[in-house]
Amino acid sequence: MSPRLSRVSRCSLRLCLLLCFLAPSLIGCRAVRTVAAKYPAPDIEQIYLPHAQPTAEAGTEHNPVVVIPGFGGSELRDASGG
Amino acid sequence: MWGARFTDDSLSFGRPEGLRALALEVPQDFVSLPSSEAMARIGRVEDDVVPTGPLLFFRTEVLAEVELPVYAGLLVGLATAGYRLEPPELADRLRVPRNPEGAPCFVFSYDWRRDLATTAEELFLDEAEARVSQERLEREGSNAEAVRFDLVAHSMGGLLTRYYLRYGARDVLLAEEGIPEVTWEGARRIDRAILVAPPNRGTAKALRNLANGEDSFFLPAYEPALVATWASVPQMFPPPEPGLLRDESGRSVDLDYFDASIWREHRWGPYRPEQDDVIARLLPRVEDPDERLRRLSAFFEASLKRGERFVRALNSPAPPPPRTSIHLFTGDADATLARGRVVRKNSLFQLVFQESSPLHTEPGDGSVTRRSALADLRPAPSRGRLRSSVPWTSIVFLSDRHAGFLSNRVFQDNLLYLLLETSPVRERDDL
Repeated sequence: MSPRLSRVSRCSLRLCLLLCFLAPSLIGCRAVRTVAAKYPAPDIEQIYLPHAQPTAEAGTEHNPVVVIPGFGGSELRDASGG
Repeated sequence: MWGARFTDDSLSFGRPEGLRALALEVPQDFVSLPSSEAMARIGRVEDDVVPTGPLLFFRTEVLAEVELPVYAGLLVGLATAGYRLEPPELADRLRVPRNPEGAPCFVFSYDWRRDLATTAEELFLDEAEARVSQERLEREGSNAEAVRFDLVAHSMGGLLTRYYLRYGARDVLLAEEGIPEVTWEGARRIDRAILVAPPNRGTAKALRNLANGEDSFFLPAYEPALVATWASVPQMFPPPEPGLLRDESGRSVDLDYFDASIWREHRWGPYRPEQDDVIARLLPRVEDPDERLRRLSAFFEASLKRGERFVRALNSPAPPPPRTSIHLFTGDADATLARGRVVRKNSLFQLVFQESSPLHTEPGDGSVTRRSALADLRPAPSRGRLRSSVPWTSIVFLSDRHAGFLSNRVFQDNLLYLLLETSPVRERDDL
Protein backbone atom coordinates (compact mmCIF):
# COMPACT_ATOMS: atom_id res chain seq x y z
CA MET A 1 0.00 0.00 0.00
CA SER A 2 1.46 3.35 -1.03
CA PRO A 3 1.67 6.14 1.57
CA ARG A 4 -0.82 8.24 -0.45
CA LEU A 5 -3.33 5.39 -0.68
CA SER A 6 -2.82 4.71 2.98
CA ARG A 7 -3.67 8.32 3.82
CA VAL A 8 -6.82 8.09 1.70
CA SER A 9 -7.73 4.83 3.36
CA ARG A 10 -7.22 6.31 6.78
CA CYS A 11 -9.30 9.31 5.82
CA SER A 12 -12.08 7.08 4.50
CA LEU A 13 -11.93 4.98 7.60
CA ARG A 14 -12.20 8.04 9.80
CA LEU A 15 -15.10 9.33 7.74
CA CYS A 16 -16.86 5.99 7.99
CA LEU A 17 -16.32 5.86 11.74
CA LEU A 18 -17.53 9.44 12.09
CA LEU A 19 -20.68 8.64 10.13
CA CYS A 20 -21.21 5.46 12.11
CA PHE A 21 -21.26 7.43 15.35
CA LEU A 22 -22.71 10.66 14.07
CA ALA A 23 -25.75 9.25 12.30
CA PRO A 24 -27.22 7.41 15.30
CA SER A 25 -26.38 10.40 17.48
CA LEU A 26 -28.23 12.76 15.19
CA ILE A 27 -31.16 10.37 14.92
CA GLY A 28 -31.13 10.01 18.70
CA CYS A 29 -31.13 13.78 19.17
CA ARG A 30 -34.03 14.11 16.82
CA ALA A 31 -35.96 11.36 18.64
CA VAL A 32 -35.36 13.04 21.99
CA ARG A 33 -36.47 16.39 20.62
CA THR A 34 -39.60 14.79 19.23
CA VAL A 35 -40.37 13.38 22.70
CA ALA A 36 -39.56 16.74 24.27
CA ALA A 37 -41.94 18.46 21.87
CA LYS A 38 -44.64 15.96 22.74
CA TYR A 39 -44.15 16.51 26.46
CA PRO A 40 -43.23 20.18 26.66
CA ALA A 41 -41.84 21.95 29.65
CA PRO A 42 -44.32 22.72 32.44
CA ASP A 43 -47.48 24.39 31.43
CA ILE A 44 -49.91 24.15 34.27
CA GLU A 45 -52.44 26.12 32.27
CA GLN A 46 -52.82 23.05 30.12
CA ILE A 47 -53.87 20.98 33.12
CA TYR A 48 -55.90 23.61 34.87
CA LEU A 49 -58.88 24.54 32.81
CA PRO A 50 -60.36 27.84 34.03
CA HIS A 51 -63.32 27.32 31.73
CA ALA A 52 -64.01 23.80 33.03
CA GLN A 53 -67.50 23.45 34.48
CA PRO A 54 -67.53 20.69 37.09
CA THR A 55 -70.81 18.83 37.27
CA ALA A 56 -70.59 18.97 41.06
CA GLU A 57 -68.58 21.14 43.39
CA ALA A 58 -66.78 20.09 46.56
CA GLY A 59 -68.41 22.08 49.33
CA THR A 60 -68.14 21.78 53.06
CA GLU A 61 -70.92 19.17 53.04
CA HIS A 62 -68.48 16.78 51.37
CA ASN A 63 -65.94 14.66 53.19
CA PRO A 64 -62.38 15.90 53.48
CA VAL A 65 -60.06 14.03 51.12
CA VAL A 66 -56.63 12.67 51.97
CA VAL A 67 -54.37 11.99 48.99
CA ILE A 68 -51.79 9.28 49.66
CA PRO A 69 -49.21 9.35 46.88
CA GLY A 70 -46.90 6.56 45.84
CA PHE A 71 -44.00 8.81 44.86
CA GLY A 72 -42.64 11.62 46.97
CA GLY A 73 -40.03 14.28 46.99
CA SER A 74 -37.46 14.64 49.74
CA GLU A 75 -34.52 16.71 50.80
CA LEU A 76 -31.73 16.61 53.32
CA ARG A 77 -32.67 17.77 56.81
CA ASP A 78 -30.01 20.49 56.70
CA ALA A 79 -31.44 21.86 53.49
CA SER A 80 -34.88 22.11 55.08
CA GLY A 81 -33.47 23.81 58.13
CA GLY A 82 -34.56 20.95 60.34
CA MET B 1 -39.24 2.65 40.39
CA TRP B 2 -40.70 5.40 42.55
CA GLY B 3 -38.89 8.62 42.61
CA ALA B 4 -37.65 11.33 44.74
CA ARG B 5 -34.99 13.83 43.87
CA PHE B 6 -36.31 14.48 40.41
CA THR B 7 -37.03 18.00 41.57
CA ASP B 8 -34.89 21.11 41.50
CA ASP B 9 -33.35 20.01 44.77
CA SER B 10 -32.24 16.75 43.28
CA LEU B 11 -28.94 15.15 44.14
CA SER B 12 -26.87 13.11 41.79
CA PHE B 13 -27.06 9.37 42.49
CA GLY B 14 -23.65 8.96 40.91
CA ARG B 15 -21.89 10.99 43.56
CA PRO B 16 -21.24 9.17 46.85
CA GLU B 17 -23.13 11.79 48.87
CA GLY B 18 -26.12 11.51 46.51
CA LEU B 19 -26.14 7.73 46.81
CA ARG B 20 -25.86 7.87 50.61
CA ALA B 21 -28.66 10.42 50.84
CA LEU B 22 -30.94 8.21 48.79
CA ALA B 23 -30.10 5.09 50.79
CA LEU B 24 -31.82 4.50 54.09
CA GLU B 25 -29.10 4.65 56.72
CA VAL B 26 -28.04 1.23 57.98
CA PRO B 27 -27.44 1.48 61.74
CA GLN B 28 -24.24 0.08 63.17
CA ASP B 29 -25.84 -2.03 65.88
CA PHE B 30 -28.10 -4.02 63.57
CA VAL B 31 -25.55 -6.81 63.38
CA SER B 32 -25.82 -7.58 67.07
CA LEU B 33 -29.62 -7.40 67.35
CA PRO B 34 -31.75 -10.53 67.69
CA SER B 35 -34.04 -11.07 64.72
CA SER B 36 -37.24 -9.87 66.43
CA GLU B 37 -35.58 -6.71 67.67
CA ALA B 38 -34.07 -5.99 64.27
CA MET B 39 -37.54 -6.31 62.75
CA ALA B 40 -38.92 -3.88 65.32
CA ARG B 41 -36.11 -1.40 64.73
CA ILE B 42 -36.27 -1.39 60.97
CA GLY B 43 -39.29 0.86 60.86
CA ARG B 44 -37.71 3.35 63.24
CA VAL B 45 -34.45 3.96 61.44
CA GLU B 46 -33.76 7.68 61.30
CA ASP B 47 -31.61 9.58 58.85
CA ASP B 48 -31.23 13.11 57.51
CA VAL B 49 -33.72 12.82 54.67
CA VAL B 50 -37.16 14.33 55.14
CA PRO B 51 -40.15 13.99 52.83
CA THR B 52 -41.18 17.27 51.21
CA GLY B 53 -44.49 16.36 49.62
CA PRO B 54 -45.83 14.52 46.63
CA LEU B 55 -43.91 14.47 43.40
CA LEU B 56 -45.87 17.14 41.51
CA PHE B 57 -43.91 16.87 38.28
CA PHE B 58 -41.47 14.40 36.85
CA ARG B 59 -38.64 16.33 35.31
CA THR B 60 -35.63 15.05 33.45
CA GLU B 61 -33.27 16.50 30.96
CA VAL B 62 -31.81 14.75 27.95
CA LEU B 63 -30.70 17.46 25.54
CA ALA B 64 -34.01 19.19 26.23
CA GLU B 65 -36.08 19.42 29.36
CA VAL B 66 -38.96 17.00 29.57
CA GLU B 67 -41.52 17.52 32.28
CA LEU B 68 -44.67 15.57 32.99
CA PRO B 69 -47.32 16.21 35.59
CA VAL B 70 -47.52 13.46 38.20
CA TYR B 71 -49.56 14.40 41.29
CA ALA B 72 -50.02 17.92 39.90
CA GLY B 73 -52.58 16.41 37.51
CA LEU B 74 -54.65 14.88 40.31
CA LEU B 75 -54.41 17.86 42.66
CA VAL B 76 -55.28 20.38 39.95
CA GLY B 77 -58.30 18.23 39.06
CA LEU B 78 -59.46 18.19 42.69
CA ALA B 79 -58.91 21.93 43.07
CA THR B 80 -60.82 22.60 39.87
CA ALA B 81 -63.75 20.73 41.39
CA GLY B 82 -63.69 23.02 44.42
CA TYR B 83 -61.48 21.20 46.92
CA ARG B 84 -59.34 23.37 49.15
CA LEU B 85 -55.76 22.14 48.84
CA GLU B 86 -53.89 22.06 52.13
CA PRO B 87 -51.56 23.74 52.76
CA PRO B 88 -52.81 26.75 50.72
CA GLU B 89 -49.28 27.29 49.37
CA LEU B 90 -49.76 24.08 47.42
CA ALA B 91 -52.66 25.73 45.55
CA ASP B 92 -50.51 28.78 44.88
CA ARG B 93 -47.70 26.63 43.58
CA LEU B 94 -50.06 24.90 41.19
CA ARG B 95 -51.75 28.20 40.32
CA VAL B 96 -55.22 27.01 41.21
CA PRO B 97 -57.82 28.80 43.38
CA ARG B 98 -57.50 28.37 47.14
CA ASN B 99 -61.25 27.59 47.42
CA PRO B 100 -61.69 28.71 51.04
CA GLU B 101 -65.29 27.39 51.05
CA GLY B 102 -64.38 23.99 49.66
CA ALA B 103 -63.92 20.68 51.43
CA PRO B 104 -60.28 20.29 52.47
CA CYS B 105 -57.87 18.07 50.56
CA PHE B 106 -54.83 17.00 52.59
CA VAL B 107 -51.77 15.29 51.16
CA PHE B 108 -49.93 12.70 53.22
CA SER B 109 -46.19 13.05 52.70
CA TYR B 110 -44.13 10.11 53.80
CA ASP B 111 -40.73 8.62 53.19
CA TRP B 112 -41.35 5.99 50.51
CA ARG B 113 -38.12 4.15 51.38
CA ARG B 114 -39.38 3.16 54.80
CA ASP B 115 -41.39 0.28 56.15
CA LEU B 116 -45.06 0.78 55.26
CA ALA B 117 -46.55 -0.62 58.49
CA THR B 118 -44.63 1.94 60.53
CA THR B 119 -45.52 4.69 58.07
CA ALA B 120 -49.22 3.85 58.59
CA GLU B 121 -48.76 4.94 62.20
CA GLU B 122 -47.96 8.43 60.92
CA LEU B 123 -51.13 8.90 58.88
CA PHE B 124 -52.41 12.15 60.37
CA LEU B 125 -56.15 11.51 60.52
CA ASP B 126 -56.37 12.48 64.21
CA GLU B 127 -54.92 15.91 63.50
CA ALA B 128 -57.00 16.33 60.34
CA GLU B 129 -60.15 15.31 62.21
CA ALA B 130 -59.49 17.83 64.98
CA ARG B 131 -58.91 20.57 62.47
CA VAL B 132 -62.02 19.86 60.38
CA SER B 133 -64.07 19.57 63.56
CA GLN B 134 -62.85 22.98 64.74
CA GLU B 135 -63.61 24.53 61.35
CA ARG B 136 -67.15 23.17 61.51
CA LEU B 137 -67.62 24.56 64.98
CA GLU B 138 -66.48 28.01 63.86
CA ARG B 139 -68.52 27.96 60.66
CA GLU B 140 -71.71 26.19 61.70
CA GLY B 141 -71.69 26.56 65.46
CA SER B 142 -71.68 22.80 65.92
CA ASN B 143 -69.28 19.94 65.37
CA ALA B 144 -71.55 17.18 66.59
CA GLU B 145 -71.37 15.20 63.35
CA ALA B 146 -68.43 12.82 63.18
CA VAL B 147 -65.78 13.71 60.62
CA ARG B 148 -65.45 11.07 57.94
CA PHE B 149 -62.78 10.98 55.26
CA ASP B 150 -62.31 9.81 51.70
CA LEU B 151 -58.87 8.46 50.84
CA VAL B 152 -57.42 8.64 47.32
CA ALA B 153 -54.27 6.53 47.11
CA HIS B 154 -51.98 5.86 44.19
CA SER B 155 -49.55 2.98 43.62
CA MET B 156 -47.65 2.05 46.80
CA GLY B 157 -49.90 4.52 48.64
CA GLY B 158 -52.66 1.97 47.95
CA LEU B 159 -50.80 -0.69 49.97
CA LEU B 160 -50.29 1.75 52.79
CA THR B 161 -54.01 2.57 52.69
CA ARG B 162 -55.09 -1.06 52.72
CA TYR B 163 -52.81 -1.82 55.64
CA TYR B 164 -54.20 1.18 57.54
CA LEU B 165 -57.81 0.23 56.81
CA ARG B 166 -57.22 -3.34 58.02
CA TYR B 167 -55.14 -2.74 61.14
CA GLY B 168 -55.19 1.00 61.86
CA ALA B 169 -52.12 2.84 63.10
CA ARG B 170 -50.35 -0.11 64.69
CA ASP B 171 -47.55 -2.45 63.75
CA VAL B 172 -49.01 -5.96 63.57
CA LEU B 173 -45.95 -7.46 61.87
CA LEU B 174 -44.18 -8.19 65.14
CA ALA B 175 -46.84 -10.42 66.70
CA GLU B 176 -45.18 -13.70 67.62
CA GLU B 177 -48.38 -15.67 67.22
CA GLY B 178 -48.58 -14.61 63.56
CA ILE B 179 -50.62 -12.01 61.76
CA PRO B 180 -53.64 -11.07 63.89
CA GLU B 181 -57.23 -10.91 62.69
CA VAL B 182 -58.29 -8.03 60.51
CA THR B 183 -60.22 -5.52 62.66
CA TRP B 184 -60.82 -2.79 60.05
CA GLU B 185 -59.69 -0.45 62.81
CA GLY B 186 -58.50 2.19 60.34
CA ALA B 187 -61.71 2.02 58.27
CA ARG B 188 -63.71 3.30 61.24
CA ARG B 189 -63.87 6.90 59.92
CA ILE B 190 -63.31 6.27 56.21
CA ASP B 191 -66.28 6.42 53.83
CA ARG B 192 -64.49 5.76 50.56
CA ALA B 193 -61.05 4.32 49.86
CA ILE B 194 -60.21 4.91 46.22
CA LEU B 195 -57.16 2.99 45.07
CA VAL B 196 -55.46 3.93 41.83
CA ALA B 197 -53.11 1.33 40.31
CA PRO B 198 -52.20 -0.35 43.62
CA PRO B 199 -49.81 -3.34 43.44
CA ASN B 200 -52.07 -5.42 45.68
CA ARG B 201 -50.42 -8.69 44.69
CA GLY B 202 -47.02 -7.07 44.41
CA THR B 203 -44.95 -6.31 41.37
CA ALA B 204 -42.25 -8.39 39.74
CA LYS B 205 -40.41 -5.12 39.16
CA ALA B 206 -39.70 -4.86 42.89
CA LEU B 207 -38.10 -8.30 42.79
CA ARG B 208 -36.14 -7.42 39.66
CA ASN B 209 -34.93 -4.08 40.98
CA LEU B 210 -33.68 -5.62 44.18
CA ALA B 211 -32.07 -8.62 42.50
CA ASN B 212 -30.56 -6.93 39.46
CA GLY B 213 -30.94 -3.18 39.95
CA GLU B 214 -32.79 -0.77 37.73
CA ASP B 215 -31.17 1.01 34.85
CA SER B 216 -33.30 3.04 32.49
CA PHE B 217 -32.35 5.42 29.70
CA PHE B 218 -33.71 8.57 31.32
CA LEU B 219 -32.91 7.94 34.96
CA PRO B 220 -29.74 7.25 36.91
CA ALA B 221 -29.13 3.59 37.75
CA TYR B 222 -30.48 2.21 41.00
CA GLU B 223 -27.87 -0.24 42.23
CA PRO B 224 -29.16 -3.40 43.99
CA ALA B 225 -27.22 -2.54 47.16
CA LEU B 226 -28.97 0.82 47.28
CA VAL B 227 -32.39 -0.78 46.75
CA ALA B 228 -31.55 -3.25 49.55
CA THR B 229 -31.67 -0.37 52.04
CA TRP B 230 -35.29 0.47 51.15
CA ALA B 231 -37.50 -1.44 53.55
CA SER B 232 -40.59 -0.77 51.41
CA VAL B 233 -39.32 -2.80 48.45
CA PRO B 234 -39.80 -6.38 49.80
CA GLN B 235 -43.28 -5.25 50.90
CA MET B 236 -44.10 -4.95 47.21
CA PHE B 237 -42.88 -8.42 46.31
CA PRO B 238 -45.53 -10.66 44.78
CA PRO B 239 -46.75 -13.37 47.17
CA PRO B 240 -45.08 -16.63 46.13
CA GLU B 241 -47.27 -18.48 43.62
CA PRO B 242 -46.65 -21.19 41.03
CA GLY B 243 -45.37 -19.86 37.73
CA LEU B 244 -43.94 -16.62 39.08
CA LEU B 245 -40.44 -17.94 38.40
CA ARG B 246 -39.85 -20.55 35.71
CA ASP B 247 -36.79 -22.38 34.50
CA GLU B 248 -35.65 -22.47 30.90
CA SER B 249 -37.96 -25.34 30.05
CA GLY B 250 -40.95 -23.45 31.44
CA ARG B 251 -41.31 -25.42 34.67
CA SER B 252 -42.28 -23.48 37.77
CA VAL B 253 -39.37 -22.97 40.18
CA ASP B 254 -40.07 -22.68 43.87
CA LEU B 255 -37.56 -20.24 45.40
CA ASP B 256 -38.32 -18.48 48.66
CA TYR B 257 -37.20 -14.97 47.79
CA PHE B 258 -38.15 -13.73 51.26
CA ASP B 259 -35.29 -15.86 52.63
CA ALA B 260 -32.03 -13.90 52.73
CA SER B 261 -29.94 -17.08 52.56
CA ILE B 262 -31.22 -17.68 49.00
CA TRP B 263 -30.02 -14.20 48.01
CA ARG B 264 -26.64 -14.84 49.56
CA GLU B 265 -26.28 -18.32 48.09
CA HIS B 266 -27.09 -17.23 44.54
CA ARG B 267 -25.39 -13.83 44.81
CA TRP B 268 -28.43 -11.72 44.09
CA GLY B 269 -28.91 -8.07 44.89
CA PRO B 270 -26.44 -6.72 47.45
CA TYR B 271 -24.49 -10.01 47.27
CA ARG B 272 -23.56 -9.50 43.63
CA PRO B 273 -19.75 -9.27 43.55
CA GLU B 274 -19.72 -5.91 41.76
CA GLN B 275 -21.83 -4.39 44.55
CA ASP B 276 -18.78 -4.25 46.86
CA ASP B 277 -17.93 -0.80 45.50
CA VAL B 278 -21.47 0.46 45.99
CA ILE B 279 -21.59 -0.83 49.57
CA ALA B 280 -18.24 0.86 50.21
CA ARG B 281 -19.78 4.15 49.06
CA LEU B 282 -22.86 3.54 51.22
CA LEU B 283 -20.82 2.78 54.34
CA PRO B 284 -17.64 4.83 53.87
CA ARG B 285 -16.69 4.76 57.56
CA VAL B 286 -16.48 0.96 57.65
CA GLU B 287 -13.16 -0.11 56.19
CA ASP B 288 -13.50 -3.89 56.30
CA PRO B 289 -15.53 -5.14 53.27
CA ASP B 290 -16.76 -8.20 55.20
CA GLU B 291 -17.96 -6.02 58.04
CA ARG B 292 -19.73 -3.72 55.57
CA LEU B 293 -21.55 -6.64 53.99
CA ARG B 294 -22.41 -8.09 57.42
CA ARG B 295 -23.98 -4.84 58.46
CA LEU B 296 -26.02 -4.45 55.28
CA SER B 297 -27.00 -8.15 55.45
CA ALA B 298 -28.41 -7.82 58.98
CA PHE B 299 -30.60 -4.95 57.82
CA PHE B 300 -31.58 -6.72 54.60
CA GLU B 301 -32.56 -9.95 56.38
CA ALA B 302 -34.86 -8.07 58.76
CA SER B 303 -36.28 -6.12 55.84
CA LEU B 304 -37.11 -9.33 53.94
CA LYS B 305 -38.78 -10.83 57.00
CA ARG B 306 -40.93 -7.78 57.50
CA GLY B 307 -41.71 -7.81 53.78
CA GLU B 308 -42.95 -11.39 53.99
CA ARG B 309 -45.18 -10.59 56.97
CA PHE B 310 -46.50 -7.42 55.35
CA VAL B 311 -47.49 -9.32 52.21
CA ARG B 312 -49.23 -11.96 54.36
CA ALA B 313 -50.98 -9.29 56.42
CA LEU B 314 -52.45 -7.71 53.29
CA ASN B 315 -53.58 -10.99 51.81
CA SER B 316 -55.12 -12.70 54.82
CA PRO B 317 -58.84 -13.42 54.37
CA ALA B 318 -61.27 -10.99 56.00
CA PRO B 319 -64.95 -10.03 55.77
CA PRO B 320 -65.59 -6.66 54.10
CA PRO B 321 -65.45 -3.50 56.23
CA PRO B 322 -68.95 -2.61 57.44
CA ARG B 323 -69.08 1.07 56.49
CA THR B 324 -66.36 1.68 53.94
CA SER B 325 -66.53 1.27 50.19
CA ILE B 326 -63.33 0.34 48.36
CA HIS B 327 -62.95 1.39 44.72
CA LEU B 328 -60.32 0.53 42.14
CA PHE B 329 -59.00 2.30 39.05
CA THR B 330 -56.51 0.23 37.12
CA GLY B 331 -54.96 -0.16 33.69
CA ASP B 332 -54.95 -3.20 31.46
CA ALA B 333 -53.68 -1.96 28.11
CA ASP B 334 -49.91 -2.27 28.46
CA ALA B 335 -47.66 -5.27 28.65
CA THR B 336 -46.42 -5.33 32.23
CA LEU B 337 -43.69 -7.40 33.84
CA ALA B 338 -45.33 -10.25 35.75
CA ARG B 339 -42.80 -13.06 36.10
CA GLY B 340 -39.18 -14.00 35.59
CA ARG B 341 -36.93 -16.81 34.45
CA VAL B 342 -34.43 -18.69 36.55
CA VAL B 343 -31.26 -19.46 34.62
CA ARG B 344 -28.79 -21.94 36.07
CA LYS B 345 -25.18 -20.87 35.66
CA ASN B 346 -22.77 -23.36 37.21
CA SER B 347 -24.34 -23.95 40.61
CA LEU B 348 -25.96 -20.51 40.80
CA PHE B 349 -29.43 -19.39 39.82
CA GLN B 350 -29.72 -16.08 38.02
CA LEU B 351 -32.99 -14.17 37.85
CA VAL B 352 -33.83 -12.82 34.41
CA PHE B 353 -36.74 -10.47 33.77
CA GLN B 354 -37.56 -9.42 30.23
CA GLU B 355 -40.16 -6.72 29.83
CA SER B 356 -40.05 -7.25 26.08
CA SER B 357 -40.98 -10.92 26.33
CA PRO B 358 -44.66 -11.94 26.16
CA LEU B 359 -43.69 -14.88 28.37
CA HIS B 360 -42.78 -12.48 31.16
CA THR B 361 -45.63 -10.00 30.83
CA GLU B 362 -49.35 -9.66 31.45
CA PRO B 363 -51.84 -6.85 30.79
CA GLY B 364 -51.40 -3.94 33.17
CA ASP B 365 -50.37 -0.30 33.32
CA GLY B 366 -46.67 -0.82 32.62
CA SER B 367 -45.80 -1.15 36.31
CA VAL B 368 -48.66 -3.02 37.96
CA THR B 369 -50.46 -5.92 36.32
CA ARG B 370 -54.23 -6.06 36.14
CA ARG B 371 -54.19 -9.23 38.24
CA SER B 372 -52.13 -7.58 40.95
CA ALA B 373 -54.32 -4.46 41.11
CA LEU B 374 -57.43 -6.62 41.34
CA ALA B 375 -55.77 -8.72 44.10
CA ASP B 376 -56.86 -11.59 41.88
CA LEU B 377 -56.64 -14.92 43.68
CA ARG B 378 -57.28 -17.02 40.57
CA PRO B 379 -54.25 -18.76 39.09
CA ALA B 380 -52.96 -17.21 35.85
CA PRO B 381 -54.44 -17.01 33.29
CA SER B 382 -57.51 -15.84 35.20
CA ARG B 383 -60.68 -17.67 34.26
CA GLY B 384 -64.21 -17.52 35.65
CA ARG B 385 -65.55 -14.93 38.05
CA LEU B 386 -63.19 -12.72 40.00
CA ARG B 387 -61.99 -13.98 43.37
CA SER B 388 -60.13 -11.24 45.20
CA SER B 389 -58.70 -10.62 48.65
CA VAL B 390 -60.11 -7.07 48.44
CA PRO B 391 -63.90 -6.57 48.73
CA TRP B 392 -64.23 -4.15 45.82
CA THR B 393 -67.27 -1.90 45.63
CA SER B 394 -66.46 -0.79 42.08
CA ILE B 395 -63.73 -1.27 39.49
CA VAL B 396 -62.89 0.94 36.50
CA PHE B 397 -60.39 -0.11 33.83
CA LEU B 398 -58.52 2.54 31.89
CA SER B 399 -56.03 2.32 29.08
CA ASP B 400 -53.37 4.49 30.62
CA ARG B 401 -50.01 4.03 32.21
CA HIS B 402 -49.11 3.91 35.89
CA ALA B 403 -48.56 7.63 36.49
CA GLY B 404 -50.63 8.73 33.50
CA PHE B 405 -53.85 7.89 35.34
CA LEU B 406 -53.53 10.89 37.56
CA SER B 407 -54.04 13.39 34.75
CA ASN B 408 -56.44 11.18 32.80
CA ARG B 409 -59.73 13.02 32.32
CA VAL B 410 -61.82 9.83 32.34
CA PHE B 411 -60.24 8.91 35.67
CA GLN B 412 -60.83 12.38 37.09
CA ASP B 413 -64.46 12.46 35.92
CA ASN B 414 -65.18 9.12 37.59
CA LEU B 415 -63.18 10.00 40.70
CA LEU B 416 -65.12 13.22 41.18
CA TYR B 417 -68.40 11.40 40.59
CA LEU B 418 -67.50 8.96 43.36
CA LEU B 419 -66.37 11.68 45.75
CA LEU B 420 -69.08 14.22 45.12
CA GLU B 421 -72.18 12.48 43.86
CA THR B 422 -72.42 8.99 45.34
CA SER B 423 -73.79 8.20 48.78
CA PRO B 424 -71.41 6.62 51.24
CA VAL B 425 -72.10 3.01 52.19
CA ARG B 426 -73.24 4.03 55.69
CA GLU B 427 -76.17 6.03 54.25
CA ARG B 428 -77.49 3.41 51.91
CA ASP B 429 -80.93 2.02 52.62
CA ASP B 430 -80.10 -1.47 51.44
CA LEU B 431 -77.68 -2.11 54.31
